[in-house]
Amino acid sequence: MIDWKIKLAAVILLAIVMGVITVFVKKNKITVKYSIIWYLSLFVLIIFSIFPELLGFFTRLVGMQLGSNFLFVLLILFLFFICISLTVIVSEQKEQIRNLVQEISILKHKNNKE
Amino acid sequence: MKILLIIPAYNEEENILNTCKKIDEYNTKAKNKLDYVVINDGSKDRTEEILVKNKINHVSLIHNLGIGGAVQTGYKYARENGYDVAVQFDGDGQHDVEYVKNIVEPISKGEANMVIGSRFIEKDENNFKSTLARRIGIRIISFFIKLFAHHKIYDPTSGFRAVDKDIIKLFSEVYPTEYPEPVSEVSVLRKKYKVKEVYVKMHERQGGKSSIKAWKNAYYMINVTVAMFIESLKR
Repeated sequence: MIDWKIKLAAVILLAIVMGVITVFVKKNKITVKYSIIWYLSLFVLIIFSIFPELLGFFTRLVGMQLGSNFLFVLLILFLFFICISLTVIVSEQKEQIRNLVQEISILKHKNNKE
Repeated sequence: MKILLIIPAYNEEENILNTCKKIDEYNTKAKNKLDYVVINDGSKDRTEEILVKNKINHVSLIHNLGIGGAVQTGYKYARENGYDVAVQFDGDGQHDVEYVKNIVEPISKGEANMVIGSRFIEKDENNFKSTLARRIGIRIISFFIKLFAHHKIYDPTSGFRAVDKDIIKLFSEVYPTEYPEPVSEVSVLRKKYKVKEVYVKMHERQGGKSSIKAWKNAYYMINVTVAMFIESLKR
């Protein structure tokens, strides 16, 4: 049986990714708020790697034939969600930056007048 | 009544001084003086130098924001300084200061909250009406505003407009940064404010380049339509 080898490899790989994200959070490069979605995705993947039977269960539940297909769909959904939340964050920040530029410029103008 | 002209300027070294001189000239003979503020949207040419040298009242944005962000700065300025009416006025010589009193009049009479200076509500062969492609585009935008906000605006992309205190407040808080003219009209109409159009004469640009280069392609039209549609969904 090579099954346990694959399991181990998958878990180690996911653990490394999780570690990298934790390091980023510790260095304040990712805020806790935005790290949650990554932790959540990784957690689900780790569970599936350790208990592939679960994967089979869900695959049959949604009426799919292959576990790998279900996994791909799941991954794409995760990435979709992450991308959308990134777009939201970027738009929010654009708004905030615009506000800052406007307020600072008006303040500078006031300062020059006095 | 305190009136402020908001003059957004991006790389307008050729026109800006002329525009301001014309307003100063107008002020020497007018009863109701017009204050103005030029919003220099991070111009890369000599605009800033000209503004400083001629002591023109201006706010220099520390970063380029695009037309919507620049105009909104003007509304914030108007709000902070307690103006009753704010008039958007182009820095490129397209707009004529003599018409400011015409577009402010419905506001001072309490007939409208927002007045748009329109090229299309009177038949006038001499008026500058831009190219055919643009006029068709304007027709289409006009149609969609009627559809989304139930009010006919004949010249929806006109940047020559006056707003009252309520709308100064509204625009200083939220102002569309993309395709601001038509989208802001939908937003104002949906909030049940009164919008009126008044005839104005416009000139061709005196020099420099228009900010709307995307006009020619359908891409712009699709974007504006989507932006207006989304705006009409907001409440």
